Amino acid sequence: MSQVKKKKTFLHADEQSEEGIRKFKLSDMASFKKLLHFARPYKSGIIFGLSLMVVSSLTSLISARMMGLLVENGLLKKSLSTSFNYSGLVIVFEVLSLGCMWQGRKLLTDYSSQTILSIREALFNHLQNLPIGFYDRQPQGRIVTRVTHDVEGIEEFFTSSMGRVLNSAFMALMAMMAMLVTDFRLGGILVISVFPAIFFVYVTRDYVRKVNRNLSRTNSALNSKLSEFLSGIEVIRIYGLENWSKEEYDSYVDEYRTSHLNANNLYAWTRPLVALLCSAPLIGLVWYGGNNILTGAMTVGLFVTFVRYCERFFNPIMTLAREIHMVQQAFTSAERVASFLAHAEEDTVLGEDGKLAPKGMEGSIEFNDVWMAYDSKNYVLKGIDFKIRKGEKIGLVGTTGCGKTTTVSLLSRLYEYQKGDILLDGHSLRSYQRSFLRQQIGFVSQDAILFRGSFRQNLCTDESVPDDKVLYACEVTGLARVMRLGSWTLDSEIFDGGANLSVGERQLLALTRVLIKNPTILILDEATANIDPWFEKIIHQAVDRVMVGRTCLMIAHRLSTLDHCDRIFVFEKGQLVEEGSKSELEEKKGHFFNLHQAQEAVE
Amino acid sequence: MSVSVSMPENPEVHDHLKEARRHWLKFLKSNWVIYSWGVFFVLSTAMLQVLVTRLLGWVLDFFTKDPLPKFFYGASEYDTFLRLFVFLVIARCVLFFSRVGWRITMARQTHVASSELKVNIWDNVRFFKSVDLVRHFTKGILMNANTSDVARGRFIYGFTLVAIFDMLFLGLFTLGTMISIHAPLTLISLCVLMILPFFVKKLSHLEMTRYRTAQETLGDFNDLTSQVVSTIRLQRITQTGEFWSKKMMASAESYRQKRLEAVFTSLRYIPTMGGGYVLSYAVLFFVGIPYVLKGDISVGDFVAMQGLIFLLQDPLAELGFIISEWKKSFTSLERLSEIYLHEQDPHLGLEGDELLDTQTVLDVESLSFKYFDGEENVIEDLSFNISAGKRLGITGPIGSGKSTLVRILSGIERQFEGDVSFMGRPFNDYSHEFLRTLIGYVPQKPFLFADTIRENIRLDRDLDDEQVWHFLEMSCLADDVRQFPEGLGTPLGEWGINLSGGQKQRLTLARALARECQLYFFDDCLSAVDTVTEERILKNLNQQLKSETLVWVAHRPSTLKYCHQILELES
Repeated sequence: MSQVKKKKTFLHADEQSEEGIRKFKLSDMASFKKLLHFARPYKSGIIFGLSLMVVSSLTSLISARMMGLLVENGLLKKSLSTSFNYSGLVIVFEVLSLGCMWQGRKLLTDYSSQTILSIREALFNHLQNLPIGFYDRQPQGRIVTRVTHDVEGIEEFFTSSMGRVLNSAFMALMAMMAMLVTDFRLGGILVISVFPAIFFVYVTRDYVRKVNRNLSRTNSALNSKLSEFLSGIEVIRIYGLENWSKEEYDSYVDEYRTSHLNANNLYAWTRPLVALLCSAPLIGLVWYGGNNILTGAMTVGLFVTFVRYCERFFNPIMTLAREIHMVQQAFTSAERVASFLAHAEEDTVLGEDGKLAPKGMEGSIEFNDVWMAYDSKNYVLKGIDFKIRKGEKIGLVGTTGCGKTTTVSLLSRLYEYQKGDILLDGHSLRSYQRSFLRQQIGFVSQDAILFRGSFRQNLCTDESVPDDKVLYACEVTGLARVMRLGSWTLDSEIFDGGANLSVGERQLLALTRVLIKNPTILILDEATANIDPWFEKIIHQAVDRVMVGRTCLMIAHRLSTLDHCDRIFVFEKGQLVEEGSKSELEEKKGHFFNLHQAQEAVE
Repeated sequence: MSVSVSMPENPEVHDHLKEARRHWLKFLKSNWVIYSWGVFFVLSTAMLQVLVTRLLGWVLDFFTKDPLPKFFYGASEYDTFLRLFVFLVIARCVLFFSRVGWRITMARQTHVASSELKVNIWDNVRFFKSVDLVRHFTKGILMNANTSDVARGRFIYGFTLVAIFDMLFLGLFTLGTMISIHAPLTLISLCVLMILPFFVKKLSHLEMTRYRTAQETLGDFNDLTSQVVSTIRLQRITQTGEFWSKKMMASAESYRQKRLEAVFTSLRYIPTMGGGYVLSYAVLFFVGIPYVLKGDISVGDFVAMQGLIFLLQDPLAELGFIISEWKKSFTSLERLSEIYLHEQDPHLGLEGDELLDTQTVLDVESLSFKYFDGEENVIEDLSFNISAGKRLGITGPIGSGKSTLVRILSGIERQFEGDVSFMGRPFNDYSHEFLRTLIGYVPQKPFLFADTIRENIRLDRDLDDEQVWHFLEMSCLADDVRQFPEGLGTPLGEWGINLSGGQKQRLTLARALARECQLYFFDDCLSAVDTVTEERILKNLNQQLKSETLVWVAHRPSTLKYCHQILELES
């Protein structure tokens, strides 16, 4: 069992490792305030909604008082007209109370949901402005959770619980004031008698929170297990793991069951106990009232009024006790979202954005003794020095982790370099506007990102580009031919992730996309790996055509793809160890020669 | 095989709803003691709730000097009051225990049943035919069954039953008490309140539909978010972030609209429920007050009537919820029954024979195959055999049926024409589990479990770390794993590290090797591994798996260099 437990911890490391957040921790209140800023544009609407809810509580209390008067002045005095008058008032105030409550909560929900949308917008923008280094250090799942689940936590509170909580709070407050005004001493005693209930809720709050968190943890763990087994059913079948998978699955169901039964056990006694504690004052009132009425110190009317006040005071308190964990959850979520928004953006990490955005770039690149470390200690680039002339085709080779990918990433200003400088057309890379710089660089990697939409949308997200231009680019790369073969048009639909296209087709699309963008510098990161022989020819042709007139950097494992390069750079352990044309390097019998030999041997 | 594979003779005509009812009744019967206690506690809760309200009314009657039940009269006025008070306290305390009681008996069964429903899902699905999992029971449908259907279906095993009994008892007691106070007034108020269940049922249905729509939109939004976060690096380089942000914003806005609609529907309960009791108050006042003034009803009774109407409102609204809940629950259980009764792959439940002592590992005689939805044969009249320790290469263009052939030869796909025998017997002569210990298969697309590297290799086998390292060495992944700070304990998947395509392929290879089979199929499983490493792996396998039979599928000729025979397929 301990083995099973241990295996499961990392899956949800995020929810348990509160420690990780502590470093960035803003206090609950501070984060809440921070998020409240997003509500500012809707301030007046929210205040109006809240006022309606206050009015609702007020009228509901007035209706209770009218009921008391109905008994005292109408029924006990046997006056039909007075009775009818008061009953009319009871009904009018009840209706008023309901109407205000309904409309007030609708308003509040509407504006809250807009506030949540603003928070989401801020998060989306933040995602685009966080430095790439941030994404390297955080598991993807955690970032997704911040943007989805945690915001849902806040949303759940603001759009549904908050209305109930505020309503209950107003009710309780009004009832309290009414009791104090009607009879200060008796009212005071009743108000104080609510403390045992509050104390109980306060004491158990952490435990309740833990139990609830456990519920959602075991739930999502079970769901991901099933999803995993369904995706991996082939593997299960191949290895005959049907029984093993059942044991695994059942152990997750066991945890799910235990957590639900624990929660059930907890609520089994806490809910009735809170109800009992909340009704205790009413019983006290009967005792106190009874003794006083018998001695004539209290009127029956006052007693009836107080019984009704008590209901209106303690029922909301019970609701509050039930909702308290939603409030807690909302605070935790708010804290996480606020901390996430507090992470430094690119402008802080990479320094202020440059101003340079010239028309007509040449595309000459110069690395002057560039040193780079991801963690400010271990340098992964150690004094890289090279010059690339405009329009040159450069191949980058070397084993995994040699620094070729880092070199390329620096060009797009994804990371900061610590020493030396990189010049583009003679100007420091830092003086360029980052978005302009990235516009100038075309990038094709092993897998293209495709989304559900037409070919047109996937090729060019900018709608102002005319169809002619898109079609022309398709002809140049050969995508047009492939589209004709598959009888696709620009309006044909591509499925999520390009599921209806082959690897070769996706790659061709990515190349066409780059051609339309018309960048000064082209980077190909293993762009022709993983493609079947038929497509390889088409892709190579497309690459040749897209490369014309641009400075090109090609990262490649298979050295045979580097035939068209003017020069080849060989990287090893963060240094540029060799450079020259393919034939020069082959003659030199150095690093490149060795790499080449190793591959020749197997092919 | 430890599990029974029950197969209805004709699943098509099986009534799933009947099965759902049968399962429900069976569950109730086998837990009848718990349920009896549950009914008892719900009954006593309802009784005590009415009693407490009634006692408050009597206290008021006592103050206004109206007549009380004889039982309460004591020697003095004070004595009478004391009796009333003690009863009130006792009733309130017993109420507490009753409430605890039904929660730990009947309500608890909700969770017990939901676990059972969940266990049954995988218990059956694991034996489904692959074709059915692609065509009929897709991942989306099964995930939905495991979450929504179980979540809704479970309630009629517990909470809905509590609600039914509560409604019944509370409704009857309240009505009874009201009738004992004043029958005509009760009937009139009840008539007005009877419209409530009708509206509540409608509203509850609408609410449910809208929340489901909102939840689906949220699902789309979350999928989009995952996609955006996982591709953020490429977006940055290609400056397409703004486009994706806009897409996310549009998705978030559409979710906001759907959710708002759902919440607004919930808020409609305020006027619906409120309208019900305001209307019945009106009736009570205008019909009841004259009775009070005439002296037919005491003031205390009148106040109690008002409280009782308030109480009666709950069970009546409950009636609406229950009707809608009952339907929804059984619809969900019906869908679950479809899973429980669905036909399972027959070959997974076969009894098996022992291995024959033969040198011919595979013998293929005039094999033909076509897809379930295809018209032409993908494989036509193929015959060959392989003997132990040999290496066979299969090559050919895309779509020539390489992977299909491998699936047939490894005994996974059994819908073919012709004869294929493994170690002298057809596949159906072996039990599924036994066959799988003999034949290993490494597919093209690597699939790993969201677990550590160690567990991904061990799976159901009891291997120590030394053995795990051995298989990692064989597939040339050991050096990579040593570089991870957590070594074999490195978690994979969304919350762990992301392996490169080549690393994933090598890990799936190591996993297959760890099963120590006699016949291996490698279906282009090193396509993303660089050629130098590939060569090392090929050499390792060739040397260390001397007596095992290996079948390689590949594009690259380099992969097939150690093969004794090459089978070239044409498209």
